[in-house]
Amino acid sequence: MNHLVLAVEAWMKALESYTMSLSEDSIWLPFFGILNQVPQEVWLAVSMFLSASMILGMIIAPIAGFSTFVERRVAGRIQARIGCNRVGPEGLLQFLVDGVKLMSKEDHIPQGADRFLFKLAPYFLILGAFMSFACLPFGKYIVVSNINVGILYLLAVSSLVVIGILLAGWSSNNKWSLLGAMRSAAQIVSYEVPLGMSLMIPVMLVGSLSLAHLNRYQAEGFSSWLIFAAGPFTFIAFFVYFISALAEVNRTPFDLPEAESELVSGYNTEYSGIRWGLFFVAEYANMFLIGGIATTAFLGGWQKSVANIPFLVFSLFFIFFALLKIVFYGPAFVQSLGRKKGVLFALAHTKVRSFSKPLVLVLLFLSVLSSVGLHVLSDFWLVSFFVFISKSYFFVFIIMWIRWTLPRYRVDQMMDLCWKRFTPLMFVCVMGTALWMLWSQR
Amino acid sequence: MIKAVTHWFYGFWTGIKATSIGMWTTGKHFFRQPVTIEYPEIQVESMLPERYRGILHVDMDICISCRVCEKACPIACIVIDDVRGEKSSVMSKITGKPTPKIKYPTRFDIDIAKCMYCGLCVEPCPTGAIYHTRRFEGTVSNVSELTYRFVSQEDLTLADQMSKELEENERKKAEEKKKKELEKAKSESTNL
Repeated sequence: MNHLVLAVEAWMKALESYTMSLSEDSIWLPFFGILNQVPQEVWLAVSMFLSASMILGMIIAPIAGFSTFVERRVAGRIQARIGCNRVGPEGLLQFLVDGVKLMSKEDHIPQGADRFLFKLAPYFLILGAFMSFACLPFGKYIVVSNINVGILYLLAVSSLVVIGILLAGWSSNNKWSLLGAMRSAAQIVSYEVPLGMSLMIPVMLVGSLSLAHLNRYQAEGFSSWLIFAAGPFTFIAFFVYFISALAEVNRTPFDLPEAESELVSGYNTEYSGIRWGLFFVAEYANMFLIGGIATTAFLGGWQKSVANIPFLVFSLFFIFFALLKIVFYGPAFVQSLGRKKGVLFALAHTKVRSFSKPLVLVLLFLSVLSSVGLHVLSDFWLVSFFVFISKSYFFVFIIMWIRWTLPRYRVDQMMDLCWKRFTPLMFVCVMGTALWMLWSQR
Repeated sequence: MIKAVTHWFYGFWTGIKATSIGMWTTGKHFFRQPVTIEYPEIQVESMLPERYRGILHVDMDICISCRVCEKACPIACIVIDDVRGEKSSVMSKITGKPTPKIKYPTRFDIDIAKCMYCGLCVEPCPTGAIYHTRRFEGTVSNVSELTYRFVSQEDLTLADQMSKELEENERKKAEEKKKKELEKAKSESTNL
């Protein structure tokens, strides 16, 4: 915050000196005169807004884009095929191409649709996802806003998604969209109950709603993680949280709102172009958010712990793999440019040979070594950021794995799971945690 | 009451069991090589089955122009013109024995664009001259290029020449025969 104040003061000084240097008959003089009269607080607010949105945009957009790439590769491997590997090294640039494609497509609005609400709906979803990121502690010092009602704020903001989906479905003037939206609303509102209750258990144990306090509580390593804090009760709560969160973001096996065999595509049937893309950015951002909240509330956040090593090995292995592919990609790309059929041809036809088994084992060994190194260094802010990202991405991976494994629930089965099973279970867990706390105090 | 409670817990157990079985099954696939063959970069013609019915090809050296393929084709995409030539014999690929050849094709066209790869022309061929290759990439810029003409210019001139010679010979033979007959008739008439 101090740096921001200093920057704003420097900016205002520069503005003033520039206005002084302008000649008397300049047409810009009145404009800069007005700018100079803007008070410092407004500049501060503007700069806070800009920096926050820049951080969010620079973190969320790549995360969401990269997740789509990971999803396609995971789906490919599960179905014994390859997945996208054409654009760039191993298809790493696929999401950029997808984005450009979506932006250049026709933005079609159906005739009977409520144009204003139709255009508004995707922004609600995006807003819900992005605002949730604002209070997520990404690492040491890396948190946009450390508010003291963090969990409450997260639950409140992520409910914006319901409004967005309902608006999208209703304004499309399409019965499938509307049905999908209604289902989605029913589902999200129902699963909010076990979700909130499962997040209540860490809050009870820590005695604070702040995500920073949750993080600090788990600073003493593996044994202090909240998933083990109250015996079986927190353990169950973690899984209930994870499954309810899946239902909350409409992912398989709870993707009833977009059940393509029944509802075409659910609430986003009528959307096209970048508006449709926004739905997906929101979905993938929410997936990361699930991982982020699970990490913060149950699995020690970015705090130093020996148990971080498997997560680090997992992500470092894939990072090393991709890096080696990129290293080999350069010469291969130059070679295929030499065939003189243009850059696009070279981009699509450059291929790096698959790695041999010994090389993969070497990479695995390297990633184990370097993850131990990172574990030692994890008090450094950038390393703590990496720890958080890799733990969250592990959950994103699990969600994708679930998606390509389990079939969709029926509506009654979904509601049965929520109201007959998770809600009573969470009542028991909350009571149990309270008793556990009493017992352990004595 | 107790039954209902046990049923409730049993539901959790079945859910966990079923989910873990599914996740294990798909999880194994992460350690499995993809079965995808990246086609244009990897040549697949040698991987195709032995009896794959690709684009038709005719071995003109052993074709005896018997026109069974033309008759067998259900959509008439094979057109054959031929001339008579001197009697020779070709080795049949099917029986392995020499087969007599008295006709020489001057035109053997197959419209690959029409062909439906049924293989009905291949079956009756006595010498195995017409057969399916494993080639399937028939992309051309103009459809007319897909009409494959199997008779080369040399074969055509050869066949023409042969047929002319044959006609000449036959004409001569016929004339000689006529002469002989005439002479025979004359001698017979003088004898009488």
